Amino acid sequence: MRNIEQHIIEILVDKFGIEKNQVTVNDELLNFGMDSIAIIELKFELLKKFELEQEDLNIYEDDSINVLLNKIGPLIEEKKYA
Amino acid sequence: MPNKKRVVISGLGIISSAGDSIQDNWENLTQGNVMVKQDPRLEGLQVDFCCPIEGFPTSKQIDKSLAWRIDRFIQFALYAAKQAVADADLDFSTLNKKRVGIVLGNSLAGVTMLESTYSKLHMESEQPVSASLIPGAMGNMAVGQIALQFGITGPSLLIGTACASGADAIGLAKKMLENDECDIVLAGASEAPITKLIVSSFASLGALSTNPNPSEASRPFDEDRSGFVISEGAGILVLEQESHATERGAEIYAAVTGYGSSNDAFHVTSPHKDGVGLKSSMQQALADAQLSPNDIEAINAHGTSTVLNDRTESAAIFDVFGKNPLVTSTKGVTGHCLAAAGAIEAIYSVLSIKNNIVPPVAGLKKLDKSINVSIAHSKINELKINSVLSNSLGFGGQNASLIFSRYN
Repeated sequence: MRNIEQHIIEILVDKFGIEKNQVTVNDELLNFGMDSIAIIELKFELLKKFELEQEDLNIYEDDSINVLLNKIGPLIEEKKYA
Repeated sequence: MPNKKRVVISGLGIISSAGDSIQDNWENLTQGNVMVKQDPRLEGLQVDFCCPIEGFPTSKQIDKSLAWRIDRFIQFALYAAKQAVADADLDFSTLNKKRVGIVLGNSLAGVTMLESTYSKLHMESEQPVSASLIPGAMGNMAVGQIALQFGITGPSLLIGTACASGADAIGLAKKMLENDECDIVLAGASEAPITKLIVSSFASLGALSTNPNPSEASRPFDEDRSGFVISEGAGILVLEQESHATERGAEIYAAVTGYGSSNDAFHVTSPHKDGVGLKSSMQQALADAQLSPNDIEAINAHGTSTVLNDRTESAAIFDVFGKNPLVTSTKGVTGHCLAAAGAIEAIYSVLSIKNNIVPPVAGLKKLDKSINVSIAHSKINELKINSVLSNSLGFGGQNASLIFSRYN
């Protein structure tokens, strides 16, 4: 999980230009300036990074990094044992 | 018609190859420093030089969390707008934002983003196209991003009259203020055309200089000129009703007194051989300003350094003004940034009035003998300037002329 969290933060910082010290795991993505269009982009990035299927992942502006971890973690686990 | 409101300029913002501040631009302009460089973005092309803006954007200029999702021309527009707003000392918390407008000019929209996304799509067809492409590349999004930045809710318009767009945007803003539709309008233009596709296309048209010595390529009015040097940038002016500006104690640079526009209806890319349309726009601007030709001390010509433009423009200027005004072209320094040129040169015209200086035509060595207006040769020309006319011409037969006057 820790690893996934680091990857998500890395994407937010490198691709979306969010200051590292601004990122907290409990804040809604909207609070980092991630609007609906940025959320679509973030989804593309996460699908690519974790090699997930598009239909398996839905993310929203009011999700936090913790919420994302809870969505992505099980999908990665599932893939491992598939 | 009720009395027209007087329109003044209370703020300036600029980013061009000559710098990202008013001071840097003016210094490079008056020194005649040529900004042409070879550009890695154009590597492999026949014309691989331009007047670029290097190192842009830094995180100080545009927030990184926004920069990734908007085209370079929007980044330029936002940066220039922020500068102009700060220069005018506008406090949006105290303004009626419905009475603040935005009118910008642009020609090629987000071609940088479009071109790179298209290339990527060809290379990696499985990858989804960025969701930010449309909102990050549409022409009107320069206006939209500025409205978002400041919470401006008045009229917001994008003008597309090719290389006359910047001048037409300022002209339209002037009318909106005169007619009391707004208290303030942010007016200007932005362009980021330096991509392989666009430069190749202008080269195919024969519009770009192919001078083997790039630093001598942009040479308006010179006997050996062979085309323009492409450039990029943005200029934004805060235009304001005089009464509004004085009430809030704004510092006023100059008044916008005249505007004229016309179409040659002659050829898609060439100016009318007799300059009919341009003469008409200059005469309209004079009439609008209630000035006579003798009242204009200086002209910032479109002066692209193409054979046709410089010849027909100077002939049209001679027909309307004779040899009296001192004519310059600042494109010898900055190159030609298409839609943004009219706005950037409007700023230079205002600075000419402020400083009583006509910047020299950089790159000019030997004046074309067919040009019989008074050209500002390669030295700083000091003279008392009360009114400056600025011309902009564009593909599609567009002509626009603006007059700026000393504010008393």
